[in-house]
Amino acid sequence: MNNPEKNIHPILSLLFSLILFVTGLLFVKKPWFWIYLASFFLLFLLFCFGRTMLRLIPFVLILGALTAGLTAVNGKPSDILYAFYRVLAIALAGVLSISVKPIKLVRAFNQLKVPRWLTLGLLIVIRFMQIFYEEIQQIKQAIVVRGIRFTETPLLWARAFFIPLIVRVLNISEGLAISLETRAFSTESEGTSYEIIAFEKRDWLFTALFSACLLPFIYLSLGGLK
Amino acid sequence: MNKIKLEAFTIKDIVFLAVITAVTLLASAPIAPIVMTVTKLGAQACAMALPFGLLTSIGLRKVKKSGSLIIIGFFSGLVLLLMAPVMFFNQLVATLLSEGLALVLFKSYENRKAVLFSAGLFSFFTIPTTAVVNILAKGRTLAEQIGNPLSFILLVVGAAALGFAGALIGNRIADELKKAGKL
Repeated sequence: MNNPEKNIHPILSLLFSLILFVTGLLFVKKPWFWIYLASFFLLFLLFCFGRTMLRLIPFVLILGALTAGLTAVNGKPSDILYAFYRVLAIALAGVLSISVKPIKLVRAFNQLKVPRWLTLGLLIVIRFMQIFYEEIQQIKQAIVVRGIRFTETPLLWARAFFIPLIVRVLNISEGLAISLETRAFSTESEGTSYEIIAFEKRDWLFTALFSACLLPFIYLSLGGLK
Repeated sequence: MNKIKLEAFTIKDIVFLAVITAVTLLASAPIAPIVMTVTKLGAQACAMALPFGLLTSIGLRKVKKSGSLIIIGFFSGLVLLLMAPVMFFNQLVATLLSEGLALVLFKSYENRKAVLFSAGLFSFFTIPTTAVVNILAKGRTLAEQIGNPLSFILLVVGAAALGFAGALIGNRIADELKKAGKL
């Protein structure tokens, strides 16, 4: 369905995601919000974002139910609906940004002459979130094996969790820094890109259709057709 | 009078700050989706204050250069840009305000109070940006966002208090690691 090789240009994806995020939240209370959602839903299907949208369904259902439930505590029925709509709007904006491959985004940033330290840092953060997720699971297992319970001794639990975690952070970052330095990475030098991320026909077509979908709703929100 | 010293960042500094940012985002990940769509001003800041205060203070104890917190803000903002684009500005402005104020008051991170102040108020300073973003992007007035003034005050004080508590714990951990020769 969604071939990552056929994604939209990473910078365009980010830009359109930002636009969808802002307009989605602005239009939440409009009676035509569903048409707005449906039109972008169709656009994304047309550009093969089906798999990404499927991946977001559990997020929408769980978070939507949670926020709607929290709003139901002291909100009106319309507020509950708007809370769910907000999650939908965020998910819609997320379709484009989630589909961006981090390495392609970094390469696109490099081409835009974004400072090397920034793109390198971004790549490390994205890559190491997965690594540290596994580290955290291991530390938690070790805590359980030692019989420490958060509910019984929270301070001891925090100590047993944070100190090994920070020691791992220090060790991993030390090793990674040495590894980068030996590969001639530095904050001053300008790197070359392995792959050129260029604008293609597909990107221009997406831009045109995206604008065609969005502009009528902006016109309506500004008081058009009154 | 001491001046704010600007030093160049090495690859080692950048890598450590990036890794600490990854851990900070992971530590706040279980809470973030729950508070992401809450419309009450200050709720997000209050929920994020403890993990952000704790881990960023360790980051600042290791990389004691002016601009370290802004770099953490850049990295976390860029990652959050992929999930909730407006969060980028939120993170960046908060780090600018927090670090700017801390360095104006204490000049350098060699002073431990600067680390406490900067890391502790990071989350607190996301509140004004959130308010502005809500007005611009969601069309919600400040009065709507604040709602009940008492609960708003509690959330704001809570964000500052939890941030400082986190920064204090982070400093204690950093002290232990320093004693062990790890930091």
